[in-house]
Amino acid sequence: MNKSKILVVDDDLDLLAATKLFLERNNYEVKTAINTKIGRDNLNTFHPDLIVLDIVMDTNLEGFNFLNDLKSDDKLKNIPVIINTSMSQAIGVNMRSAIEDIDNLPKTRFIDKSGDWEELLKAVTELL
Amino acid sequence: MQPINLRIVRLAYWLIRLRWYAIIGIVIGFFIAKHFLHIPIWNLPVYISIIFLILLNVISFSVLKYLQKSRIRKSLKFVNRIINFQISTDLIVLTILLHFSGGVENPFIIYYIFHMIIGNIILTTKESFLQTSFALLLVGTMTFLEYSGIIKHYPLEGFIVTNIYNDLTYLLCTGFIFVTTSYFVVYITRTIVKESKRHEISYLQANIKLRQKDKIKNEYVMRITHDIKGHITAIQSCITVLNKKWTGPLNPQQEEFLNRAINRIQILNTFISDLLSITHRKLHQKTEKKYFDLNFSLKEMIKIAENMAHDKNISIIKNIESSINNIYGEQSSIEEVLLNLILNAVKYSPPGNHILISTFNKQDSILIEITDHGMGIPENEIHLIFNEFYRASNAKSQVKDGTGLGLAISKQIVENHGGKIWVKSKLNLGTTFSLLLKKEQ
Repeated sequence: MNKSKILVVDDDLDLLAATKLFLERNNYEVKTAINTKIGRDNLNTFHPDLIVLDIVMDTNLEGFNFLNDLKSDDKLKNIPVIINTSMSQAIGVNMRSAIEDIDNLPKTRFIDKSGDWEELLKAVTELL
Repeated sequence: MQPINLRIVRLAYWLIRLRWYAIIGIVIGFFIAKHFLHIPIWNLPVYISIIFLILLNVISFSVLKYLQKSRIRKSLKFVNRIINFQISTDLIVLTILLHFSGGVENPFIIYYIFHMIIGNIILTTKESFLQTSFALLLVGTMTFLEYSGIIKHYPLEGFIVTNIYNDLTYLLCTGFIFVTTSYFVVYITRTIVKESKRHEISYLQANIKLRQKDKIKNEYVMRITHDIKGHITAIQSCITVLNKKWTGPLNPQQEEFLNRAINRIQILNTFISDLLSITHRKLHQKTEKKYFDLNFSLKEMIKIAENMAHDKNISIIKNIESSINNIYGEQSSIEEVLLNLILNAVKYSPPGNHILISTFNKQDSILIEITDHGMGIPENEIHLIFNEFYRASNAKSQVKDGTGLGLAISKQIVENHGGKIWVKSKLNLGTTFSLLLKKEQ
């Protein structure tokens, strides 16, 4: 059986390295992208089954724009996305209810960036 | 300008209070004049005046109370009218009382000045000059009518020996002095009142500026904390890679030091999360409030804490009133406060002890008490315990991972809900945290 493919988009190199290693240990094929531009390029070459996405990168809403483009593209909108961000604490919005809206953003999950691997793994296994 | 508006209502009550004193004063003065100085004064006008003043006071008080309850926008204008009416009526009553007790010969004539000063403090410049002029008109008319014999003069027999009410030179001189004194008093008090109002406004402005500065500071703390959190998360993730031995086995010493690092990172993470939480709460006091079942929340939080309590062999005794149900507030925040207080009780209790959680259904609020039999808080530190970053000296040595922000957050949340939180503690005997939450907002 082929390994599921995960694309991780985050502007933190160290976090990317650790996340890649963690997911690979759990038997996934992983590609990382340091910004959404590289992330976009990977969509067509790597064909991920799932995307782990940070929100605040070069701009405050870079991740959201990426998510938006993804979900408005008929070919790509069914790829599950895990939003992994600490943004909710910074702006105090209940991100979970805003993001896990099945009609507007199908197959999108929110987790609070905390260095807790179990939460990430749980979300990945549920969505794949 | 809310405080200025409230000021007039406050002063309206003050005026009513002053009138009670005046009524008592009239009664005592009348009694002394009659029975000690043996001055014959006609009783009827005095009795009528006293009854009239009492009625006026009761009615004014009721109207004010009604206006405050109804919260009509026009009420402030109405309060102002009441005050003007009261001062005018007071002046008329004073004139009537004076007329029946010697008129211009009565030394109490000076008391007009009080009314002028009081009017000045409460009313606008125009209004207080009008009131003063009205007072002078009343005195002038009374004096003239008595002088010309149009109305009867009631002499203070045995007190004023010669008649001066019909001495034109005296009347003109006294009249001149009285008029100039009155306007001068009005002018001086006006200046003082204006000055104090200016101070009040500058205090208000300074207060607003302070709040703005505080907001800027909090936003700054928020941004920095958020940036720090990003780094910590990355460090934690990288360390976990080593700790989970994904990169290969570790020798016991490497593992020990790695665990030390992990512990510290976890403490730092909690600290940063707490700091973000409290700063956020200070910046955004608007919360998503709704009705929720407080009893359910409390029981859920106790369940979570029971795991930790079980490890320390601590039992949680529940004395929860079943009649308590819905209260209005932000459920997640209130639950955070409850959990924080219960976990604190568990953390600072010696193993094998018990914790008591009681709730009391009060009329419009709910009281929750969480009592432990732990180390207690030193008496001289109790007042500091809700301060940010403060940890009691004995707590620091026993529980290493506290951030000193938990109680500060709890207090912020409770205050955002219009509730109260306080603590009673005896060193080495235990501590009770009390939480008073309003059922409605």
